[in-house]
Amino acid sequence: MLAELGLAALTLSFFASLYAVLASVYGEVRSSNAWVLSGRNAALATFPLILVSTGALLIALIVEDYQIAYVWSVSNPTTPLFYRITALWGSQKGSLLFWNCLMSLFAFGAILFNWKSDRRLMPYTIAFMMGSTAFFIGLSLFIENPFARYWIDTSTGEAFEALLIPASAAAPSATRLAETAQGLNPLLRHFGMIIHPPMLYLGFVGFVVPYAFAMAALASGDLSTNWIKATRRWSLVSWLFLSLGLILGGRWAYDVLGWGGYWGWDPVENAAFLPWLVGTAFIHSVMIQQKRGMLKVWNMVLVLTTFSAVIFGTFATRSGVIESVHSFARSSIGFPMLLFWAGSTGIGAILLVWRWRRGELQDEHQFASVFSRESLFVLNNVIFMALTIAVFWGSFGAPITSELFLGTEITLGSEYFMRVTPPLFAALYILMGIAPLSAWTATSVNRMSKSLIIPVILTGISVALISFFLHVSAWSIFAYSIVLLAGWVAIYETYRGASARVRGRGENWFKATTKLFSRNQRRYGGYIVHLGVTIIGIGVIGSTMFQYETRRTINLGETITVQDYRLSYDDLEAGITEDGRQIIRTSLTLYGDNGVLHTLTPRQDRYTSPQMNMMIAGAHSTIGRDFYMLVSEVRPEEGVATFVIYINPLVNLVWWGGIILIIGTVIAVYPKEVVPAHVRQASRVAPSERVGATS
Amino acid sequence: MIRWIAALLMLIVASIPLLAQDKVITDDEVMDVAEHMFCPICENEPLDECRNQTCIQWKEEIRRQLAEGRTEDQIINSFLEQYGEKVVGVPRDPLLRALSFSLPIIGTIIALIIGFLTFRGWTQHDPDKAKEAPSSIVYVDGDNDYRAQLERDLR
Repeated sequence: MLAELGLAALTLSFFASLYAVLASVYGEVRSSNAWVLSGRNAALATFPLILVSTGALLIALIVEDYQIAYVWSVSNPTTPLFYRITALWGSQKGSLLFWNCLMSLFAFGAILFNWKSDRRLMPYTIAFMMGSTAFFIGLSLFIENPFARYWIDTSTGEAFEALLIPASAAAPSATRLAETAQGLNPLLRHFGMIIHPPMLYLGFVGFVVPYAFAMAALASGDLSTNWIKATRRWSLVSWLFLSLGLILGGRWAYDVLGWGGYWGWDPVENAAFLPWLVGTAFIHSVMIQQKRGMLKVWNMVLVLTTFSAVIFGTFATRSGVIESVHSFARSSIGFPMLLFWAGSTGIGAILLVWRWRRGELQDEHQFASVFSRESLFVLNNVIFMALTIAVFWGSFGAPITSELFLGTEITLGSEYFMRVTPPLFAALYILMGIAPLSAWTATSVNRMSKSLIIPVILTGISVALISFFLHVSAWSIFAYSIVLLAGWVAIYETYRGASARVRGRGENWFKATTKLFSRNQRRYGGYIVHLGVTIIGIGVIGSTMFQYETRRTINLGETITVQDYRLSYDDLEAGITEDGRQIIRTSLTLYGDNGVLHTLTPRQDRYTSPQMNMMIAGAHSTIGRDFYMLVSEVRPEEGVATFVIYINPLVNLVWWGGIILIIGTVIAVYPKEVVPAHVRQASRVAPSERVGATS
Repeated sequence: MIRWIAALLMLIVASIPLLAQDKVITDDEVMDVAEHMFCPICENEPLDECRNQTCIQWKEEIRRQLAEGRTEDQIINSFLEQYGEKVVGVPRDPLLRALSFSLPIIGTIIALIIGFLTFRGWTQHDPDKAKEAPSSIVYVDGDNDYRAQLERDLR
């Protein structure tokens, strides 16, 4: 029943989304409001239908309907309820359905919120959003259908998968299905997996809204800033989720993958990082068009590239092209996704070139000095694009090119990325420190230098303190300096804004700061984001440049010394949990200069279905450093274990910086405080009274 | 006496290879080499992090070669000869190495040129003329005739 319900809703949603595309385009071309409204209604119906379909699969997972092949493949009777729910995105078919649900949710929201304000753009926007949604629903429906069920051929007795009830077939025994069910991939049985994929998916699918609005602007000819105003929040919300997904992914890797780090420059990670890089360039660059009417073509290129990177990232991780071009060829969704990627990018590029050649994307203002904010934003975009190219080339370009054209398989690992990307990141941090001090149109060098004096002094003091307390090198002092300068500039600019209100309006500091943020959320939210990125930068420098790693084999009862710590290996125990895991847990006491610091319990979890060993870390975390250890090998009969020990300085700043980045983005996205018209008018009439009135 | 000293020296010299072979190689020394290599089976998994049976054997092979006194480069080259460029994090072959590193540099240069041209375009235009750019006007297909008529009327 659940399978039929899910399948029916999925089928209807596919036709509803296709109809929405056709009706919207036809209505716009024929100037028929009725057709456009009909298309809109079909588009609005898509989300509830997909929600029913996703709900059916979720219920099937909860009630353990193992006849559905997907449920059988990602859960078994020992899987806790919590992981049954997360199993919805635990494998390709379920995650694709979930992806559809989120994409249609964004489309639903965009239609509801923007219908009245952006009526002129909506028909083509609906067409592009629903076109993308229809493609992914089509993948779920025709290629990766999660509602296929197991049947037994009554004549041969063989089991097979089919969507609809076949003739001369019977349902397999429920007991037999439950006994053989496979269970969730152990790597996904972690708290981070509850929230990391949904966040990343939200970030990915959310960019369909800015893409659709931009394409609608090109298709309709409304090339004013309407599409930018319509998509500002959607872009920031998508960027917020993408950032959150990346940070949570890093945390999950740190906790679960057992290699002492959080970012390995793996192609799967990089596939999510690419849209983030281009999206970040876009949310900076778009400000120039809004403020100065410049970079119209470039913004179109960026929004198109961001969506293209989203689709490419999805294609790369789902099609198998990361493993090799051969496994891509074997993948059933590889070619359709490649075609969709090429098609969505190609259509956008054709529309853009068409409008550009007609001269409809000319900049309104074309003068800017070297130190203007426009110029620095262009430089920021240049560096983001160079980073994007470097990451794309290292992850996909070079391995695919060498395999296809030179017949040699190569892998570009962290060695490549650690050589190519640091100079570009350094340039970005320098710009983060300078750009907020520049003004639109022109800034004099003198004025900028004066504004830099206090942040530079604060940076010098901070670097001196870091050098005093931590082991540093010449390179790290340089790196800390440029990163800290960006943070101090953000703090100093916020302070200057608040102090101006305190002086000019007589407000107290709290009120001045809150008013400052509420009246100019984008700017000051952006500074909080910069502060978050600064803190992440400090954490990354500390944990990569000064990470200490060692492997030690220790006898039970033995005590060893690791840098400033002493570590005694106290206990070893083994057991089997309710969900069938064999656990080997070690217990060690960590001592510092002043006695016992922590009891660490690194362990190995050995799963039987599917077979996999996982190393769960034991860690003593402080803001200054993590003492992080894994048990890599155990010989219980001898009481001997081999441990991998990492000392990761400042690693926790990566997570704290991430939280601050999210807070800053939420401030920038949060609906703006609307000043009533009569207050605005009064403030225009009597500006001198304003100071006294607000105190 | 001299014969005794000579015999002692010969004994020391003869025992050097034996001492070298007995040198205890730590896990850290093995991992220092392994971190530059990749698992031949698991895609994109560095050798030092991979825990499958093949990688365990490879690490033992690295340990053996280190005990024989081979350098990091010699060990990595021995694996390269057998398994190809895929086992290292950055290709050793000069052509592949150049291919790997040249494109990001070319990409950066191209991005800088585009940025420079954009900026030059801004500074070379007359700002007053630029303000007159009609780009914020909403063009609608089909109203070209109307606009042409309007232009004629305005003359």
